[in-house]
Amino acid sequence: MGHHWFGGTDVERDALTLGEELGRGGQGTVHRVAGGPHAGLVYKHYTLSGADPRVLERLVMLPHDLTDTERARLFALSCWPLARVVSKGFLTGFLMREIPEEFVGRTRGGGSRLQELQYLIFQSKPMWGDIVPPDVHGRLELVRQYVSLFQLLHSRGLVVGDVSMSNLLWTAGGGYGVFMLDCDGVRRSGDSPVLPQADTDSWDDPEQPPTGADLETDRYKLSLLVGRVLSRHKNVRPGEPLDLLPGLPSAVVDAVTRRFEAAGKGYGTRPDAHQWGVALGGRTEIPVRRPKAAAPVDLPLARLQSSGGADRQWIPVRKPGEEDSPV
Amino acid sequence: MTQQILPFYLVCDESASMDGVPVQAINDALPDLHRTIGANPVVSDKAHFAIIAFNHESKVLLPLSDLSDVDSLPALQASGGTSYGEAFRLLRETITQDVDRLKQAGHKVYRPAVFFLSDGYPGDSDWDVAYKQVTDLSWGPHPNILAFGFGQADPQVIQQVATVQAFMADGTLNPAQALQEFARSLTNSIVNSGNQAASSPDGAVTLSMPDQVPGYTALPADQL
Repeated sequence: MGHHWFGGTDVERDALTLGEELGRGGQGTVHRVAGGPHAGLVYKHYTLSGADPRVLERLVMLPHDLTDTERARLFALSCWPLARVVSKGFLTGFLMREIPEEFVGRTRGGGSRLQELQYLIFQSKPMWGDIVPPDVHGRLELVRQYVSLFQLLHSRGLVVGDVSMSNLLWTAGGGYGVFMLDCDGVRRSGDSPVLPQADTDSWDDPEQPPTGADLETDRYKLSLLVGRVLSRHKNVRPGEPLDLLPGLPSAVVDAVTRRFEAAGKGYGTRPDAHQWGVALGGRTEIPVRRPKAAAPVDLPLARLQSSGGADRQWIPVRKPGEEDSPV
Repeated sequence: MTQQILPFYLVCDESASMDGVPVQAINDALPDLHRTIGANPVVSDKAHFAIIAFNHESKVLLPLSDLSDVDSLPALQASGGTSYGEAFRLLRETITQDVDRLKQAGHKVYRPAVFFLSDGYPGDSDWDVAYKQVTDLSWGPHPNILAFGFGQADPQVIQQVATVQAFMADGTLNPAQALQEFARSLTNSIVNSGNQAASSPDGAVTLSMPDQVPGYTALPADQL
């Protein structure tokens, strides 16, 4: 188990000494834990009411079901909820790891910003400071890593839901890496998230069923991610022409173009994360024909024998333990 | 490429009474606003920003811009009297031109948001003529106006100016702090509007407004 995994034990809010506020959003605030036994972790405090403690518990317990390798990857690639935080028996938030420094960039003028996916989708500007998107080969590597993260989650039936330009981070300095935020929005397929999630504008699935996000809507959004990062086009959608950046290997261009087109064929037909992995690997794919379904064979029927039931005699029997009734 | 644009206008009093701390506080806050918005591609792409300054005259200090393309911001300089009428006349003219230009370029333009800031009483008694023109509901791009007053501003006038929300400095913060809070609420409104998570079925952009601002009392807008 990761050394910060609590194995499902809740943490009392009073045990946390909060430090600097790191962020503030529609659902809550995020503080660094400055002192006490959990110093070094980060506390997300829900300011929005209605967070479902059972759903959060299932997320906290999920690493228990993973292999050691999967668990290590999940903790390395995300701010996964490590423990629920409660006060007087009520859920107030959860603990998670802090975002690693390599995912924070310095903008011009001295500010710092998370290196969000959005920087891979817009034309680079001087104001971005040292947030410099990598060349096309670096982009391809980052997209492969995002796809690999989705493979990990989807193989366990986990739905990301709100895939957006601000909850996926990247780094290209000192090696390529990706990282996922807002993991309390992840849910098991069929579950509701801890709190209702809104789709990020322009990252919605137009065919999302009324039951909400599922693995198939995630696959649509993964197609958006692959297509938009590799074309640096903020709005392109499956079904539209994909103008990929120059310099990609031709096998990748062919495979990505084909898969992106397939993603526009409708709900139920989107490429899954594994298929994206193959497409981005640039591996030649060998077309094969599916074997035809066997035609029904016209077998001769066995001749029916006459039962002879009409003449057969029946032998009366007793059930075990039954005796003749006393007269 | 078609964009969805939500224009923000800072309409700021730079009359003589703003001299010293108030003008300095706004000028100090503008680089932070620029950095926060300009370095965020999604927000700067969607929420464009303009500055109109007024005293007894009015001028567009910063034309409606994607802040990520802006290298320097013009500083406010305090002098002269206070004419709200001049401010609203130029505001209507500027919005008309901006909306036409953006639409001609094929962009989808959402209702503009105006952050109006004043520390004084309007010196022109007929300011409401220009005000009625800029808030005329039959004029398509009539903006949503949030009005902020401090110093000698008249709370009733500030309420009259606002169409959605008015804020009056309550004296709990010094002028520099109060103006920093004003700038922060403007920045947050732009960031949250541009970065909003919720998307309506037609992808409409909505204005995210502050309910409360530290150091200010929120007053309901005085609807016409």
